This record gives sequence, structure tokens and C-alpha cells, in this order.
Amino acid sequence: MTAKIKILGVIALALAVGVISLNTSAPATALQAKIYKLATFEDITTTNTLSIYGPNSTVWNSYVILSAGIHTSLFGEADKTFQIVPSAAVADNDADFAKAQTFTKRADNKLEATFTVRQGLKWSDGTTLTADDVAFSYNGPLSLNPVKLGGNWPAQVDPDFLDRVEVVNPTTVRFVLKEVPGIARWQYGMLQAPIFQKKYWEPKFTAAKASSDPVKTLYANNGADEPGIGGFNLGQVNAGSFVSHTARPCKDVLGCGAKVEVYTSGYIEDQPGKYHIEIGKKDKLETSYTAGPKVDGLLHNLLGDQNAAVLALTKGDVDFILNPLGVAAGFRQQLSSTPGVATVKNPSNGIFYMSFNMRRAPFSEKAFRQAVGLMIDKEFVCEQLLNSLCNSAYTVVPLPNGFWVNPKFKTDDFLKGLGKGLTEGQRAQAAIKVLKAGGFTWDTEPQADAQKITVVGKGLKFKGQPVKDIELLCPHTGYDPFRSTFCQHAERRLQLMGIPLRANLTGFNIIVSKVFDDQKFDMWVLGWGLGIFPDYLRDFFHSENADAGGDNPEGFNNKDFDKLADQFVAETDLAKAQQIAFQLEEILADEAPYIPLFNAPLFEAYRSDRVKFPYTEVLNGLQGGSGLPSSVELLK
Amino acid sequence: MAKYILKRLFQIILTLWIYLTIVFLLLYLQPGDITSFFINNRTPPEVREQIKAQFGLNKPIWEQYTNVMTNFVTLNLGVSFKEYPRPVWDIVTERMPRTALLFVTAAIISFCFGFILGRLIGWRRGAALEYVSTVSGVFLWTVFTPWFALLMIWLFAFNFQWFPLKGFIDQNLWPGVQQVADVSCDLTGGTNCANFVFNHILLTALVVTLILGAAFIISRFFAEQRTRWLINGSALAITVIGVFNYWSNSIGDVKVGGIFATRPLSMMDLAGDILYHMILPIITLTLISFAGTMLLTRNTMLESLREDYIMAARAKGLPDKAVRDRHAARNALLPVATYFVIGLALSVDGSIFIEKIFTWKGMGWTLLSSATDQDYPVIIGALVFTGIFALFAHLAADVLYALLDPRIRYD
Repeated sequence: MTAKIKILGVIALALAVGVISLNTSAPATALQAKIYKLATFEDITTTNTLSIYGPNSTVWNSYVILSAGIHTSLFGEADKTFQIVPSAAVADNDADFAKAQTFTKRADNKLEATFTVRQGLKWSDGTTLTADDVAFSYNGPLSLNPVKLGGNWPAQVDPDFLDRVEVVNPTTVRFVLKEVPGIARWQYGMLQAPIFQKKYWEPKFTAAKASSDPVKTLYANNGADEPGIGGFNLGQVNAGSFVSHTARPCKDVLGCGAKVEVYTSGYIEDQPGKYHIEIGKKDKLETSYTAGPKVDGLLHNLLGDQNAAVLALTKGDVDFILNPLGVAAGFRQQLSSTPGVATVKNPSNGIFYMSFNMRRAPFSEKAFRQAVGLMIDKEFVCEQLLNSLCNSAYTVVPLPNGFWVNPKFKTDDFLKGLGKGLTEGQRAQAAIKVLKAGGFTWDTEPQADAQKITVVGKGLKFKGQPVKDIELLCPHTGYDPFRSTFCQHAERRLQLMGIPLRANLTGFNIIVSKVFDDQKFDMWVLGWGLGIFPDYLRDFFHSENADAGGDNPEGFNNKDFDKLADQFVAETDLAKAQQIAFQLEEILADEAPYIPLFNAPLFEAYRSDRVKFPYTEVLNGLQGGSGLPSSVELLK
Repeated sequence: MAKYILKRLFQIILTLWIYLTIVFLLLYLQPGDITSFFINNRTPPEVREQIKAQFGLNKPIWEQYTNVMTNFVTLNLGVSFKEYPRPVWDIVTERMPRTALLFVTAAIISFCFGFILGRLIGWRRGAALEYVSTVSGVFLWTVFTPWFALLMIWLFAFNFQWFPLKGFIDQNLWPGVQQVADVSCDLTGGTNCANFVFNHILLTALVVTLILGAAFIISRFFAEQRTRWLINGSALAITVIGVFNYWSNSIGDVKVGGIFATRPLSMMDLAGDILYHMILPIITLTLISFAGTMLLTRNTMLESLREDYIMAARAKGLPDKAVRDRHAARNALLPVATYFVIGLALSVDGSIFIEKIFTWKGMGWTLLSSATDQDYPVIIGALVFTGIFALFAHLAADVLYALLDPRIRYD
């Protein structure tokens, strides 16, 4: 038997050595082409781009498929500043740019806006992008009802506003609108809708409409061979492993080779002999670069988790880790000291908040909500407990989205009124004052000196009736340690005040179901990822959205706020919209339907010895631009 | 026997129905659904309602249950919510071969290793080998799998660079592959190319197992002791030559090109690449699981060795090797074989930890991501497969019992 085991051992060893040597005896030669390699953690779920804008709108599909620039749009957002800039529409100076965003009244009482489509844009199959493609990109989805298409379609092709798009001539389109859309619906919505090739998609729409389930039929198309207009063509999808893209010839790509200068309030894009865009002011230069693609191909490598991704980055197998949450805290120090790896910290455009069921007492009482806001020491949690891995927040609009943040929220005096910089004792004193003024009493009233609570409160009452036990729904530590830490802090602080609150650390789905669907809850803590234009100021707080399934599950109902919020989303003037946003933010700070808790900055890591980005400091980090595939340079 | 199998088949159907009902209730009665992930201010409530309607989630629970059961009976597993409208069957057939190849191989190696070692330490009770293998086996059996897997990667893939860090194929090699045999790898065909090679490896393994198994049976029952090694050796040699010839000449060529091409490749290269990626996960899986078989074999061996027939065999003057292998180990094999067959069936669902850590996208990973995303049809599809395999494995184990032990009869 021993001899047999030895023989088996030798055979096994020989096989193992054989397999290893098969792979190492003829090692793969280094790729001659310049391939930008990105790590992802989830597979793409479809290659059908219509579906990616619909029910398959995952961040991973967006990173891998859409970031290759398969579509363009009439207008887009400038890098870093996110200001609206022309893309496939010709609006290359201030006068044309302003004109492009105005409407004229029609005889049938509808409105119209006309755009010229930039000439010389080629699809990857060699055909030219025309007004037909633009019109089809709106009329096609409209014909199937954008709501039924799901996902982002109603925001991109809003049937409440858009009636149709007409082709005036091969380079001109006319939008016919039912009513005036505000900036959110127009500039940050419909004008940025993707343009699809009519030749490719029209037969598929026709077939879908003839079927019993048009949406399912449309989304069942593979779509991988869809001609693109951007910098890369889809190469190969190997589910569970990688997705490759090859760069298109620069001469065929919109903007490739153009010199781009992004200013704080202005934008210049110059492609000699083709076009020159110059809008806004040449004030502070935020970034300048030559548009690409400057690489030969993209390789999105699927990795199981952050451990694998960090090892791959350290080893040089990938150049950048794509993840909406950045790199986990545990890896940051390790990566910072890894040769050839650079780390970057950026603010994220998101907010984590606490809110209430304002349909009933005591949550319906402003005094109660304000007191809760005062008692939570955000600086203590972020800086002391969470080791400065988050930034305290006092307004729903994150501070890094500077244009839309009311300047008051940047001043210490104003923020002190919301509790910033106060000691535990000062917070308690302020909260007791607010609660008493709001009609709250205690069996044992809490007391505090300048530093601490000296007497713990017991038996909070509202209008003589004891306040019942309060459940604060929070994501558990495994899901998000930041939010669960905030909840435990809030539980302790509010209990010291005699508020019978208990934090229930539970699953995300349970919170969502209880809060958004059933509306059976007391208080909860969750977060939002936000867009640049703060139309969420209306969406999250307008009483119209307070029904089950709406974005205002707290049931905030303030007629003045509603009126102002309606004005805000209908406003077509940016400066006026900004002023209305400031007023809305002030109302929210006073009414406190949300207690903004914190923003979490994004930490990211990349191979600085291999790649060079035109910029690394940007809201939402480099992942927000999907790793900048169209402007990244490879050093080796 | 036939009557018994028919009776068991009926029981299997009944158990499967109960199992499916429990899976359905566990999934559909939990709070929330996949539309929770569409909550954002750019997706109005009516869109969420529309998605619910599209997926049938707005229907009464009994109607959803009826749909699931009807789908199951008609072998239609429905469409994935997360990869809408991709059929679940398509997802399962894409990922099952990867999981099957890795985990069945690991299960067989782990079983062989564990059985041989268990038999040895059961026979030589009290020897140093018993203490070393028992302590290390129990440590590895109880070790925290993710930690141990990461340690193995860090040590052997990252530091020594003997094995790849991740995945089931080389992400630098395969993007340059344009065609495998007559399968085009362009666009979404890359998956088909990789699965083509996976399926052929599985097929090869099956054929090799059948040939070597047949040779073993022939040599065991129809040949004399002296010629057994000749038959087995010849079968092994013929198989090795056949496999080499098949992979070198018969399957087809590999076409490489484009900017991702690194070097000319053959089918052997591609198969070798997959096998190379399997080594570290298999070593890890073997190390963390062999102890189960080893300890079970050891215990049953110890029980067998106390039996009268062992004493009788020794009294007859049979050599130790014959007593151990033909008398003790043969009887000790029964519970171990059951353990192995059921373990083999359960291996089709993979291991969530191993698949995630080694970036081996198979059924385990699919199960995890579908559960977190509440993609009910995929979860049910994956669990149904496990259930069917497990139930049939039980049946197979019962039949195997009768074959291995002539005393057992099913009436």
C-alpha cells in the first residue's frame, strides 16, 4: 500500500507540475497594446443598453458598458464641475447655448425647442449620426411608454413634458413639449438622454410592439452588436471573468483629440478644423486635457471581493479598482504605502440621514425633531468613533455640491444653532429648552452643566401623555458600520434625555419595506446617493410623494414648502433656481424632517506607475467617471 | 429492488414538493423585494409598481406560488429579475459546469485523500501519524474558511506566485481568443468559449472515469491477480494517449487575434489554463474538507477491527494488508461512501466563500448574489437543482449500499 501511495503521489505531483509548467513554460508575452485594466466586483447583467437605462440600471453595467461611450447626447456634463455643456448639439457659444435652452410657443399652445445636430459624428458601423437618430431616441421610448420601460426612462424621456421630437432636416430636430420643463427635467434630464442608432434599434422596436409583451421582447435583445458613437467598441464578454473593449480610431470619435479646458464657470473645447465650444467665464481653471481615447483597449476584470482586488492592484494585475463605495478602510493604509500605488480621497455626493414618521406624535412635533437633531454629536461620532472616516452633515445638499449649498450652512454661527461644536451638556441644555417650549415634560427632567448631563431624564411626556417606546430602524453593522454606530450613539444620548428610544439594527430590505412600502415605523436611518441638480429637495419632502412607495415616507407636509419646491423644479433660470434651493434648505433645517448625519468620503487607489488621470480630485471620485476611460493615459 | 426504487422515487417527488414550498415561503414571505433597489428620486413609485407587475410580484401570494410550481413541473424556471429577461435555465447552465468541475474534482480528491489517510490511521492506531493527521485535520476542518482561503492566496498566489490570484481563466490570455473550435468568442461569445472548454474538460473527465472504472471492474472480477496491474496500467496509458490526442487534434483549433492577443494558443493551452486555475482552490477545498472523510473512515475502521470476522481473518493467517483492505476497509467503506455520494451531490451548489474569494463565478456565488438582490427565480432555480441532486444522491447511496454490502436487500 505504501508503494501505491508513493506512486499515486508521484503521479499527482507530475500532473500538478505538468499543468503548472504548461502555463509557465510559455509565459504570455506582455501585451503590446496599451490596455487599461479595471477591477469590478459584479458581472454585467446585460449588454442591451436600453435595458441598462431601464430595469438593469446597475452601477456595474454603467461602469462597463456605458462608460465606453456607446452613446452620446445632445448635452452632457463637464468633467469636475458638472456644468451643462453641448455634446451632439451645436450650441458652441453663450448666445447659442442660451438660445438652445429657450422655448417658443406654438399655435397649438404647445412649446418647441430646436437643435442643430453636430455634423461628422460617425457610428462605429460607419454611418453618420443624423437628426433621425436623435428623434428616434425620444419617439421610440415614448411609443412604448417610458414608465413601462422602467428605471431611468421616465427621467430621460418624460412623457409628462415631451410630446414628440420632429425631424426638421437631416441636421435639425424640433422638440415639441406639453409644458415648460424646469432645469431638472430639461437640462439634467431630457437633453442628456442617450442617442441610439435608429437603423439598429427601429426594427427591434417594431418587433417588440408586435409582440404580446413589448417591454420584455425589447429587453430580450442581446444588443452586444449595437453600433456605438463613443471611444470604444465592445470586444468580448466573458461572464464571470472579464469584458474587453477596443478603442475606435480617433478620427471617428466625437471630441477625440480636442483640447478641453474646464473652468469653475466656463468650458472650452477646441478641435481645430471641426468645432470650437466656448461658454461661460474663463475664471479658475479646474482641469485641462486632451480628450481621448488614449488607450488601445479596456479590460474590466471581475474580482470576487476587495481582498482579491487589493492583491491584484498591489501585484499590478489591474490599474484601478472600480467600486461605488471606494476602497474599504482596512486597506487604505496598506495601499498608501505600496510602491507604485497612489490613493486619493474625494467627497461623495450622498447623504446619510435620520428621519421620523411625522404622521403622529411626538414625531409630528418640530420641537421633538429639533431636539433629536441637537442631541446627536456628529463630530464626535465621525472624528472620535469612526476615526475621521466620515464628515458630519447639516444640510440635505452635501457640502461638496457647492453651487447648491446655502452659504449659511458654511458658517459656524448658523451651524452652532444646529448643534455643531456643542458639548454634551450644551446640547442637552438646548434640547431641554426646545422640548419644554414645544410642550414636552418629564417625570424626572434631565439636567446638564456646561459639559455633561448631570441628571438623567425619565418619563418624557407630550401634552401630559407618556411618550411610547420608540423604535429606530438602522442598517446592521455588517451592512454599514457607520450608520449603526450613529444609531447606537443616538440611542444612548436620547435615553439620557428620557426619550425611550431603542435602536433596532436590522436588514436593509426590512427597513425599506417598513418605511417605504408599509409606512409602519417610528424613526429610521438610511442614505441617498444624489444627483448634481438637487431636484431631490422636492422629491424627498413634497407632500405629493407621501403615499406608500413615494420618496417622502416621513410624511412631511408643509404647504409653503410644497409651493416653493414646485417653483424650484419648474424654474428654468439657474440663478433663480439656486436662490429657491437656498430657501428650501433653510426650511428643512428649521422643520427638521430629516436630520442629516454624515457624508462618507470615497477612498480610491490606482497604479500611479502605470496610469495618469487628467485629474484625481472630483466629487464622487474617479469611479463617478467610471475610471475616466476616455481621458486616462497609460505610462507603460 | 425495482419496487423499492419506485417507492423512493415517489418519496423524492413528495419531498421535492415540500422542499420547494418551504423555499418559496422563505423567499416570498420575507420583507421587501427586488424593487427596493430601485428606490431613488429618479425612479418614480409608478415605475416600481410597473417593475413589480412585470415580475409578477404584485399578484396574490397563492398565484405566485402556483406560477412557481407550474414552472417547475413544466421545467421552465422562469426569468431572472436581476438579469431580466434572461432565462434562469440559461444562468444555471452557464455556471453549473464551472462549479461542477471544481467542486466535484475537489470532492473526489478530498475523499480519496481522507479515505486513504483514515484507513491508515485506523489501522495504525496510536502512531504519530494519527496524532498529526487528526490534530491538523480537525484544525483545518474547523478553520474559518474565508480566512484560510485568503491565507492560501496570499501565501501561494501573491507571495510565491505559484498560482494565479483569482478567477477560472487568465484575464490576459483569453481576451485575445477569437474562436475556439467552431465557437466564436466575439461580443458575448467569450462565455461560450470558456464554457466550451469547461464542458470538454468535464466530458473528458467523465470518459476517463468510465474507462478507468471499467478497467478496474474487469481487472477485479475477470482477471487474475497477476494481470490486474497490466490491465489497469494499459487502460491508464491508453486513456492518457487518447486524451492527449483528443485535446491536441480532435476538438479543433484556437484562433487568436486583435489587440489583446499575446501568443498563439492551442486547446491544450486553454484547458491547461483552466486546470492551472483549479489547483489552489482544490488544494484549499481538500485541506478544509478531507478531515471529515478521514475521521469517519478512521472510526468505522476501528469498529470493523473489533469485529469477529477480523479476528477470524487474522486467525486464518491472512497477511495484514489483506485483512486491512479486504475485510476491515471494505466494511468501513459503507458509511463513508454514503457521506461521499451525498457530499458530491451537494457540491453542485458550490461554496459561497470559496467561489467569492477565488473569483470563481459558479452556483455558490450566484446563490449569494441572487439572495442579496432578492432574485427569487434564480434562487429557486439554484436550490431546486441542489435539492434534486441531494435527493437522488440519497437514492444512489441506498442502491450503492446494496451493491457494496451483499447482506443488504431492499424488498
